[in-house]
Amino acid sequence: MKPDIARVLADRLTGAALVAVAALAGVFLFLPTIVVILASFTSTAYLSFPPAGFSLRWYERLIASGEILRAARTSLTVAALATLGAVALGLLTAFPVVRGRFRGRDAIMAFTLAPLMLPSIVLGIALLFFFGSLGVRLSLTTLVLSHVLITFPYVARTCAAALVQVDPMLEEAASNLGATVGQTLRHVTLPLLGPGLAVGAGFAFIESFDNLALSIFVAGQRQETLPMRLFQLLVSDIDPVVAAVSTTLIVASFLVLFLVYRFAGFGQVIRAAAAGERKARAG
Amino acid sequence: MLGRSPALAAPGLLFLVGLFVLPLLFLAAIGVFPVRGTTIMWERPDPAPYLRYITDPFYQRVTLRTLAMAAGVTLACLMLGFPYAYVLTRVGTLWQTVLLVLVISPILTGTVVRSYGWLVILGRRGLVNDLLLRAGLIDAPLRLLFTMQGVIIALAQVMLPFMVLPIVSVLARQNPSVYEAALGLGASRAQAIRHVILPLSLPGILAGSALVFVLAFASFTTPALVGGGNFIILPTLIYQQTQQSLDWGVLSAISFVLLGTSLLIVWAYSTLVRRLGLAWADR
Repeated sequence: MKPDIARVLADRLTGAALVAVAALAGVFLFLPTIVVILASFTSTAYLSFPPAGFSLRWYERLIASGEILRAARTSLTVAALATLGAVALGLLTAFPVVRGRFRGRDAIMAFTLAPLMLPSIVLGIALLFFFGSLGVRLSLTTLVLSHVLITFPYVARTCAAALVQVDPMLEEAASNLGATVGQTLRHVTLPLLGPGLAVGAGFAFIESFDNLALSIFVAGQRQETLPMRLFQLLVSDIDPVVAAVSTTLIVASFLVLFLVYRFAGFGQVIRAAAAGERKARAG
Repeated sequence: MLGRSPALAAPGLLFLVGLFVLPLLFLAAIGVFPVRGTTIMWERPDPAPYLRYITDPFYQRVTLRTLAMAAGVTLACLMLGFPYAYVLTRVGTLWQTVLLVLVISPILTGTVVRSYGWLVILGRRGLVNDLLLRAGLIDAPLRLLFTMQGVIIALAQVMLPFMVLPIVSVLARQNPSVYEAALGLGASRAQAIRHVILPLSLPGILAGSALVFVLAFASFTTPALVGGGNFIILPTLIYQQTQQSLDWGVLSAISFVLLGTSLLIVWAYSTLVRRLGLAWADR
């Protein structure tokens, strides 16, 4: 069969159009990140793009700003504590859901994922009223507990997925060889769960560190998180110091992505990212 | 086998009841019972807040605007996301990695940071206006910030990963010989994509669309920053109302409209998938 030229041309055109749209989408995905990085080196006091002149003055402002650094410290503390809580609750939930032989295991998992299906802002307003009506003062505790609520479903999900892959025979072998329950957990089960647990914890940390919609309702007066601080800086006036903070955060998150890639492989990252997709399917 | 006992799930379940179920019940209650301070008066139910919500043209306008915005974001994500996913599954390993990193990167850079990038791009002195002015296409800067178009553009970038990832997972599972058969039988590339690949990708497209719609509909940070006080949607309305007056009844009504619509979308999606599943099985 001789391919006619019109057909070949049309096919080339289709391919080129697809690649063009994909390239456009790629630029679209990356553009804000690049722009933020470049804008952080501007020397003007207002925000302009392309940046006029080069300076590090906004980084100097960042280092000198007690408010931003304090907010960053609060965010790190909250994210670390929330991740700890999320890992504890997530592990405890994942085990019986995967290994138990009782009815309602699927229901428990669905119930655990329910907070993810709720708009953060609705959860925030519900918790604000709830704490208020119980007479609980907003504090670091209310902030961390609220963050555990939206992060432990992730950990439960990734741990459950990883746990399915763990062969119980290995644990039996360990206990037959005289290992206690604690030793088996520490030296056999948890290391096998490692990648799944790491990805779940990583997502929990990012989710907590990035959260704004919940934090603005449940944080106490003295617990301003970094997203809250940046939000305030942007609502009043577009302050270029935010670009310096953002660039720092972008560099940090790419370092984290690189580390996860080295230790767990990309498949894990994508699987965890696609957890959101499953959450819609669960409905 | 370790961790089979249902009792292990208890802490997670208790946590969910205490910080998820109860707050939501309280939030539902304040829509129908009068509130004094933060105390619910349980005596006489009064659906006035809901009636006020339904009859007030302002709330109607905001609700419609939110729906229109979410639909716009879904459409934009679909038009960019499908070609992106298609190209991603058809390039070499190196490019695949690049495209995957690119698509996941918005998830990893924080929401505030991403929105900030769009403020720089769409602002009066931003990238888009700068380019258009220099090209002589416009005389005065366009108003892109604080408009529906601006918010849709920014949100589409934030949501694109959630469209691309489900489509990629479906495309990756497709048998390439189906496509090759279509080509072999004389279909052009465009025809093969339209009549073979697109219908077979429908599960991914539907999953992505439902997810993007629900997430966009309930998103807060990006609309709050890019839309400002000028472009109000339901989630930003909730925040605005808590800043001005704490009318708990109306806050409850808005929250449940938001929640109800999200659940409706998820339900419509799963019904659609079931119907289509049946149709495919019949063939």
